[in-house]
Amino acid sequence: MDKKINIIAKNLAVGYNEKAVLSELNFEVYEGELICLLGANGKGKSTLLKTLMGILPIVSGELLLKGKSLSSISAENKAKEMAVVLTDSLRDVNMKAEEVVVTGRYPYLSWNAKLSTKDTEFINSSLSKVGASHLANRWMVNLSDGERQRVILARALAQQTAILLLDEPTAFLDLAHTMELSVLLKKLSREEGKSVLMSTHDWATALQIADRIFWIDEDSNFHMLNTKELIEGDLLNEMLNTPFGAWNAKLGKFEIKGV
Amino acid sequence: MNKTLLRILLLSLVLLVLFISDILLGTVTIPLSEFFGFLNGHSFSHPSFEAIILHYRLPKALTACFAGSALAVSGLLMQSFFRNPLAGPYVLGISSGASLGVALLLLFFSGSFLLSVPLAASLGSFLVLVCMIWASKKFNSSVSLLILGLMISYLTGALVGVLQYFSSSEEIQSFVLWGMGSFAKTQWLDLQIMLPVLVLGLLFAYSRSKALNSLLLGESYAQSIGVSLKAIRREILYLVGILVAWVTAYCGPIAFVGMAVPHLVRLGVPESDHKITIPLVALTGACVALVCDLLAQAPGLDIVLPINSITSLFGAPFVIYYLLKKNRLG
Repeated sequence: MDKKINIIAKNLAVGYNEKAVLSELNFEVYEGELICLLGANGKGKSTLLKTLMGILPIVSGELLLKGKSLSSISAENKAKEMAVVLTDSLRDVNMKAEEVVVTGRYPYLSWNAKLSTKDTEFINSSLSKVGASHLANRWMVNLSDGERQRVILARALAQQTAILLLDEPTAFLDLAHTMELSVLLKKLSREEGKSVLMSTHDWATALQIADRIFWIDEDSNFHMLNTKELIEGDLLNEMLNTPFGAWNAKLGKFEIKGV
Repeated sequence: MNKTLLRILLLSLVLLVLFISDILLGTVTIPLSEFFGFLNGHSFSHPSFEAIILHYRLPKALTACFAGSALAVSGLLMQSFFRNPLAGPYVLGISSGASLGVALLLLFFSGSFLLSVPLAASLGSFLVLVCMIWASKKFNSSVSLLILGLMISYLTGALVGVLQYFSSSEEIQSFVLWGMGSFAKTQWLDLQIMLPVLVLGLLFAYSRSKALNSLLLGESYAQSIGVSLKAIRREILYLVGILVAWVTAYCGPIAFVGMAVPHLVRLGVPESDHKITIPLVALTGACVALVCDLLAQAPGLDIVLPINSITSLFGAPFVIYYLLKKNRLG
């Protein structure tokens, strides 16, 4: 049970232009766990993720990455600890799939971006882990949404990091691809011990794969929830707060009312 | 990688042919056989040929090569940085800044002395550059920066218009002549100042290939793989500013080479790795500048056309063609 903590937030406030969108955040992210971040649009999911990524500055409080203050870590060292999958589909990037994955190795390469044998191995194994080896020489623009998402994930894996942050990775995917990605992310957290933190709107998927759920409610309060307790308890109904459906704890699924 | 090397060799060969043509052709045509004879230590049949080549056409051809390379690579950097195919040194307002500087000198202080035009152009360019660097700290999005560049172009254009209104016809004439652009105004002394700066700038651009490739994925991804956005943004702005200021100072504003050449390369080379594209764009830029200079000489005729008109006449339709083609594919 002695798991390492990869991220710690202490009294963290996140937002734009020094205006807090979310505040008093206190949480830890352990190695080997998959966390889903849920909440209505505009409540700060992306803001929180961008702050964790170091793209947005911290408004106040503390954010520690492996025990060190995030703002004190150089961009290059940050890149060796944390990889990201953003909502940008990279459809219009004029690159082949493999070239996109190569950029995942950039934090480890010198100015001329020359790949060592080890780098090439990492690139190939990342592509094969996501089942995209056959896509390596295809142009990004010619791939389907699902294929592109796999390549983008391979890029993040090639970065060889302890932490993986994903901003709505299933947003453009159909059901089959959502399931495929879910299995993959679960495997990465369990087998490789990565901390996986993803934002999503998809409660059904989150309840099945997440070890814990971070939920931002309508009043911008931050909750850390245990997935098992959520499934078995009545809290989900309170959270949903809609006359059109309810969580059925016995069946373990959402039911839409009146149809 | 082999394919890239082949392309570079091929382009170098084209460049060599164009370079020699540019030296031999013009209002006075020098026979190729005499040129090779001269290289082997013989003298020309006509004594003025040597002077024409050494003091006029050789510096002009070298200027064209390096100005073309510098402008084209500046365009490529802008397009990668803004992720926008319409970006170019012109759009950033740097060329306009140079024009304003020269307009102030020629129209306001009515007259020029040694090095005064290059200095005024550099001053104007850097004035805009400083604005852009300041703005790049304030603005988060590259699109805002692009629009600011356009607005600065309009603003300086308007100021130049006002200056012209209050100037005498002789003053306007010397400014208009500068504005037409020319590779022929550089002496060996100018080249000694200009070439090292341009060569260093091009090498520096090449050394930033990795960061430039990262930027192709967008600013957020670039940051996530260790690129300091502030640093690279400043580096690119300084670099482009210096390259464009130096070219504009010595050659006048040369339109469209910066914007069009990267697209010309993209037609034949689909890759976007800057380690491949920077050398190719530099070579193609040199070739295009030489072709424009050859056309401006109007071989066989007794006239010299302004470079800026030639580059615009070919550059503008080409960019339109490229955009139409790209739209059809997209």
